[in-house]
Amino acid sequence: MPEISRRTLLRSIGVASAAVAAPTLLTSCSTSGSGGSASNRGADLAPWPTYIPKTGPAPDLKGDPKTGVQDAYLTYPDKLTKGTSGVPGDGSTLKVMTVTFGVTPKPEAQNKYWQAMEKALGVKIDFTTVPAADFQSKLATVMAGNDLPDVLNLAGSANIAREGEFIVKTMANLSDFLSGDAIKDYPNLANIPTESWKGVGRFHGGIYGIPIHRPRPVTALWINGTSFEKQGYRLGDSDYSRDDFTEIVSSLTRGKRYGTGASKDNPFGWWAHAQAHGVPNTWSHSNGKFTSYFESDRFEEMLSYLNSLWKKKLYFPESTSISGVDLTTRFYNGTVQSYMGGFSAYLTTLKMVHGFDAMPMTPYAPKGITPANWASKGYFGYTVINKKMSTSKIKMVLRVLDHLASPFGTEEYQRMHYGVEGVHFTYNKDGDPMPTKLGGTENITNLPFYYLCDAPQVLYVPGAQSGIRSLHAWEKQVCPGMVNDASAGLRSATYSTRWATLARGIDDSITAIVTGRQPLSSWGAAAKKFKSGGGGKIAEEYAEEYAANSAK
Amino acid sequence: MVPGVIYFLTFHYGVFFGNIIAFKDYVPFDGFWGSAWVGGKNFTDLFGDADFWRAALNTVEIACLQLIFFFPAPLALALLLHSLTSNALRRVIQSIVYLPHFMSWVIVVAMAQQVLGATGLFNSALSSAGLHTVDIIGDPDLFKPLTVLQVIWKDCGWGTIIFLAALTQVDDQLYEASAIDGAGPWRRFWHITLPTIRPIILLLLIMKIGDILSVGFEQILLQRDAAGAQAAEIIDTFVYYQGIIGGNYGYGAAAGLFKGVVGAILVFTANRVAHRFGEQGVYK
Repeated sequence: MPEISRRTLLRSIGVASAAVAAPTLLTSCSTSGSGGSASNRGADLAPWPTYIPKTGPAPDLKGDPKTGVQDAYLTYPDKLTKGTSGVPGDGSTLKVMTVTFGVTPKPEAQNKYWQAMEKALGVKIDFTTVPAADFQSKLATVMAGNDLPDVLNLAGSANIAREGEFIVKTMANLSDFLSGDAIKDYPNLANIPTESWKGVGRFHGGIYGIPIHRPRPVTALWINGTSFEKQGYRLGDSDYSRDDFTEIVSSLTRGKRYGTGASKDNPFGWWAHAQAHGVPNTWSHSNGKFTSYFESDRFEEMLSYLNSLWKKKLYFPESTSISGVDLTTRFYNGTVQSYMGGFSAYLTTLKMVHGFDAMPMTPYAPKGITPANWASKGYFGYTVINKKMSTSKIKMVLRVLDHLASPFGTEEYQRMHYGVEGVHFTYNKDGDPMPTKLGGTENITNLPFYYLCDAPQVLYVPGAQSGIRSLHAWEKQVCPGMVNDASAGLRSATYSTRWATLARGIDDSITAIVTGRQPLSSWGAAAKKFKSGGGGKIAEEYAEEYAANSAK
Repeated sequence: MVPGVIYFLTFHYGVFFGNIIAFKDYVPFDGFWGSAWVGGKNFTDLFGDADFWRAALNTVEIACLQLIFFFPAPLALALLLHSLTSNALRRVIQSIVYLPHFMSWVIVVAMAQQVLGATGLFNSALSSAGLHTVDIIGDPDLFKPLTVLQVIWKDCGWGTIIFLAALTQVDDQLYEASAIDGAGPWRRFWHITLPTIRPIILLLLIMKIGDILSVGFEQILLQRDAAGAQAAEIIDTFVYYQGIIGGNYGYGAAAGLFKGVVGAILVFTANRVAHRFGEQGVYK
């Protein structure tokens, strides 16, 4: 029998614990320094970029910029305009990195969409797409390898520890190019609403990030409109009660069909139910104090309601274990009749759903409660530019981003969103650009240029007229009176290091309570743990930031 | 020899140094040297964290279940295989029982869901027969036994390899002699088979004890949310959520280092106990 030395054995045990630290060893070569806080306290605040809206094609259903209702288009504009002039790039190669929700794109040499975009932009794009779940570890790796891309988009869902410090230390301050009237050099970036810039916020007083615009609605309870209407639901009913909802959901639960469902991404779709129960948006502010929604006294009532739905077996039984993607598949095929999803999911949902009308639901109202509809922070993510680039290169990158932000109804918008006519899409009889077979794989989902920069969103999905109509009607109902997240654009170091862990702890507690593994009374302890574990500190930091930002 | 030494230095000893971040407030863009020292803060925080102790307790519970139910299983299967007289039949069965080892956990967990999940085969059969359904995958009480069963299904066959090799060392003449002296199968096992392969069993046991806190990261991560963190968080998933997902690398590394140290102590102890009983153990 071979003998093993003490060392060999130590190693075999040590590997497991050292593995966590493995990627970090490589960082030893990178430069260092401390401090560099991104807080706006004591910083000179750069004025927000001037908002100069562009007039696009006349919408079929008019929106309202005041309340956040979007312009809606039932048909595609038949005359396209030009959003920019000339080719923005200088022929060099740009290394870019964004999150992706698609699959790995075909390589550039075989990808006609990629090639068409490069030709129009006048630069080679070296595109790294990272699945959302891997973003944080991928970013840590490129930091360690001192290999940060030239242009980087940080999606709102990505949780980057010390995000603000990272931006200030490694990315370019764009205030000189974008602040105030300077943005006029980039008319399409000037077309991005101020709310979105404010949502991203300043970093130590400077403007660093260019927002990817999102409309006011952020989440929705998506329903199978066809079956809900059969049970008596009408979009826009003002007295749609919680009991009505329970009744519809129970009558739709039959055999292998379930009235509602959820995924482990957001247990029991509680975001939607919290809004219905009048729980305020993530952070509220009053008299210089910040409070999180976990402190709302409505929370317990919501949990008890969800627990009753779970006990009646109205939820899809695998709701605590399936992924978000699996959930939407079950919604598309009719197994799950309603679920909480992102509002912007309509872009995919309206394309994928056949055989029934998918629509967001009017929030139900429990007795004596007015629902609180949460507003987004106005952006999906924001794009930053590497500090190492020269001024002229930064200007070139901004021109490229300006090109990508060309609004709906321009040739640039069409190329980026739908590809090349005859190759990636063809017009149907109504003039909508419908994807070809090649357009099913070579497209913006798999090569997400729209996460580098994009036009303000309008409501339009090729060939989905009735879906767009109900979205617009829904927006008109929920957008007025939407509640903001008071933390929008404010920096908190504790948030960026603790939030992911704290939110997971809360989600674990919600799952335990709704499934009945823990009593409802345990909620108080969970909320307290959130506060003492960092939630309270985050609130303090937001309050300081709020004061610093409103000083001018 | 040199490539081997380089390999071990780079990938096994070199990364040891990375454990330094357990004593730092590690920030990737500040780098390895630039991040601030925090001394033992990560550890004091860790030991005061109820979630960590819950994860540790779950880990120990699963480890004990594995030790009791999974560890002897390959030995039993190996004895069974060894007793087969037809070589052809033995090879076929061996190949079949090795197969599951080569499946990834994603597949095994997905199969378990398809069969035992709330809308899986088993429950569909129950509900179409008009019976009550049982949520096996989502039941926190069943979670630990379920994971052990999955491990046995997947790796029991693979685990027989070393035992089978050891069993070939047993001198057949001893069996014949004892059979002539009137020893039954049980006596033969107890007095001949077991003493011969005892050093191997002990070696594997000590190795297992050193590794005892690694109860299967992938397998449990995939099923953690269905059963809830209360029952299904283990040290490895805790490290993953704190370190990789939460970005608290130093804190995660502290938990990982703690696990490594406990593993090392267990091995030394187990080895010493083996020596005391006159066994060779893993090393001298």
